Amino acid sequence: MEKIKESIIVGIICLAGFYILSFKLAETPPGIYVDEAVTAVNSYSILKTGKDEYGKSFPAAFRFFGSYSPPLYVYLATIPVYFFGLNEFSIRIISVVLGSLMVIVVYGFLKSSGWFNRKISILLLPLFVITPWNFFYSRTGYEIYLGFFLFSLGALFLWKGLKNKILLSLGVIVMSLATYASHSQIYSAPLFLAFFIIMYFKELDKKFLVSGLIAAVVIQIPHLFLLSTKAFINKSDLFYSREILVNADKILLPNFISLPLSFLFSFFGRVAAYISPGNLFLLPDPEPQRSMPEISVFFSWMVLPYLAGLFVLGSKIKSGFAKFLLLLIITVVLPSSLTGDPFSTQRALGLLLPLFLIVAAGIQLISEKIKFRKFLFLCLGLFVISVVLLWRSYFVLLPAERAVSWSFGYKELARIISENPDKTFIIDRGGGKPSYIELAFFLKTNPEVLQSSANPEIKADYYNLSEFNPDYKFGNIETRQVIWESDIYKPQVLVGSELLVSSTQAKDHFLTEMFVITDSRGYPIFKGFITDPQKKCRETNFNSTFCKKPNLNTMDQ
Amino acid sequence: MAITSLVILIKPGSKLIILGLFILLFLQTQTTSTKNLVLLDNDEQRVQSERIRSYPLIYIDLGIKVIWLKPEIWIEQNSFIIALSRLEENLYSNLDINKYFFGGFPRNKPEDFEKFPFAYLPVFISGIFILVKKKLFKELVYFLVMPLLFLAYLGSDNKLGPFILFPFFTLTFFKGVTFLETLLKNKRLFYAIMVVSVMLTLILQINYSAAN
Repeated sequence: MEKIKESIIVGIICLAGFYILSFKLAETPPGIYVDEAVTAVNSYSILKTGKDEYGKSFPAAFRFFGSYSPPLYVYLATIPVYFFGLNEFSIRIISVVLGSLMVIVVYGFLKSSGWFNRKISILLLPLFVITPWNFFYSRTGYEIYLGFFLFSLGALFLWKGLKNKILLSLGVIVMSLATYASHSQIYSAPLFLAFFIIMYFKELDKKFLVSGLIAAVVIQIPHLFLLSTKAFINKSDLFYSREILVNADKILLPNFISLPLSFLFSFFGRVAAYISPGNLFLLPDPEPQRSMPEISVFFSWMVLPYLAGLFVLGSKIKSGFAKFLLLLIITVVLPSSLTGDPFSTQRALGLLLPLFLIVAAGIQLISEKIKFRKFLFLCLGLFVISVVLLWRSYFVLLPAERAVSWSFGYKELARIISENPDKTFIIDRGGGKPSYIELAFFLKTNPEVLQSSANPEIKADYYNLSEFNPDYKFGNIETRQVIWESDIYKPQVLVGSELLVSSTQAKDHFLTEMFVITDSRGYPIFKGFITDPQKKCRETNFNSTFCKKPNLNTMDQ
Repeated sequence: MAITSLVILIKPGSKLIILGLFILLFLQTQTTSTKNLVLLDNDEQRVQSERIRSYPLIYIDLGIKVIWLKPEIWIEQNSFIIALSRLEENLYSNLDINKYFFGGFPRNKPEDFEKFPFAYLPVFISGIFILVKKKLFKELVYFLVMPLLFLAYLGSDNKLGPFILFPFFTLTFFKGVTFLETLLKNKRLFYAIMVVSVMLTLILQINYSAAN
């Protein structure tokens, strides 16, 4: 009876989590980030044609802007795209569903760890849902959260697999599957699995372990085909080799000493950054698209339970669960610390689970020190404050302050383009994120049109041509840099940021402002200018080779 | 700093420690540029007014009366919240490990020079582990919690950094080294590692100084 009651409560929290996570899903974050757009467009393309945007049939890794992303999210997203169409909601809903299911995974850990009592375990679940790191990424429409979910689920199965043989096999299989979910899991999942097997080898049921491993290897067959291609090692440029060389130069010692020292400095600097309270509780991710204003990955008040949780971890260091938590932390931090970003919340999302469990251990410890009624009151107060803080950061400040980072404005631009089919639009983002994919998303461009506009050489050598060219031409759109020598002599609309056309340029080239798209604060994001080639040619006496000399008879008329 | 640290190690219960901490506290106050916790500069005022405009209209319709809620006033213009967020900022900026061991790390401010060689980090972590494991809460409160709270109020705009925490680092390094000594059963090996570490640290420090 107790178990049924518990399951119902967890189920209700899951549903409530789904509601909270899907609140204003299509509107916030504002716009759609390029990674979401490229995922959605490729899902749509796969659904309609069985091929991606370059015309490749069912790829094992998607050549998004040359990044060769793991394919699972794209294939999963075909389901909501089929039912709800190509829009912001359908591309984000998968992460939302996984975000609410993650409640069950967290509960599984809390319950099986032996560290938490039943009441506290239940109380911690809503807190997990609104934890900024979880809340933020479970509303993003690309592969990151799927990778995190599968990694966590695999870890839970493996942990429970120490006692339940079938779950051991399942854990190995899910870990193998996680490598198809996100870039970070290509490294973290196998590393975790390897360390787990080494650490717990004596306790594991060999028969079920081997059967799980055989299934895992079978799942890896598509990856084996990619082994010899650029698609497999395409993230090697993220390593900070330049930083190591620069720092090694400062050490006036032979290279065989200075280089390892410099590497250790950069590596441990990053390791420290991932566990530093300053980064976890105060500073957001330095990349504006990956963070919310004024809030870090955990609520600032969580620093106290975090420190208390570290104390619990230290005092129970010899217990199986403490070792398991440390293993989770190490296998996420290790690969993340080998990339240049000083603190990437996206790459290290796997840390959310063990760090939350440490915070949870701290909360459990605090609950043991004060009366339960007082503790409940404290929890309720902190929960309300946390919800208000989250609402302020995510639903009020983010749409206003991070609109450009989330590519806000393209929806309106797409509307203007579709309402003017007779005009050609040149979109110049001045080296910013690729705009062709945003427009293809909002205009719901026919996948075959997009495929035909891609370089045909790519399809022939899909997994090796990683260089990306953001210049595209389809429909009445061209995405490229404005060529001032010739573009002003053609009848078209030049679109770019506020800096693209100065008032002097507009005057000199007879450009008329057609539209301005602003963010919610009124700051311009896009400006569109119509060229007037006839006037330009007339006023400059047809000096340019791009001006056609007019027929004098026609001029007289 | 050095004398206070030395006394902590040699005579842990001495009243000289309290005196030393007071002197450090006085020096920290004298050398830190403090910032008012509630006053906003021009740029902060601009951000504040922009943020106030970002809030949606929120009301509760009771049928006979509409109650307008003003979260923008309650949150953005609340002096208590502004002060609290500044205290928080000051506190957490001093809880950043990189600030002490990894000068020049990409996320650090230019003034965050390396206070200790990064090779000391394992010793530091071991030291913290021992302080917690042995429940030396008195030491933690005197040398860590109290200075941190003080720094939260004072701010961290100090070219020398939060040097009031120096005795705490000395204590943790000492505890960490002692712990490592007990871990390594071969005493000769332990001393060899210590000598090499100290030599390497010295060379690195000289090199950094020469390079900068």
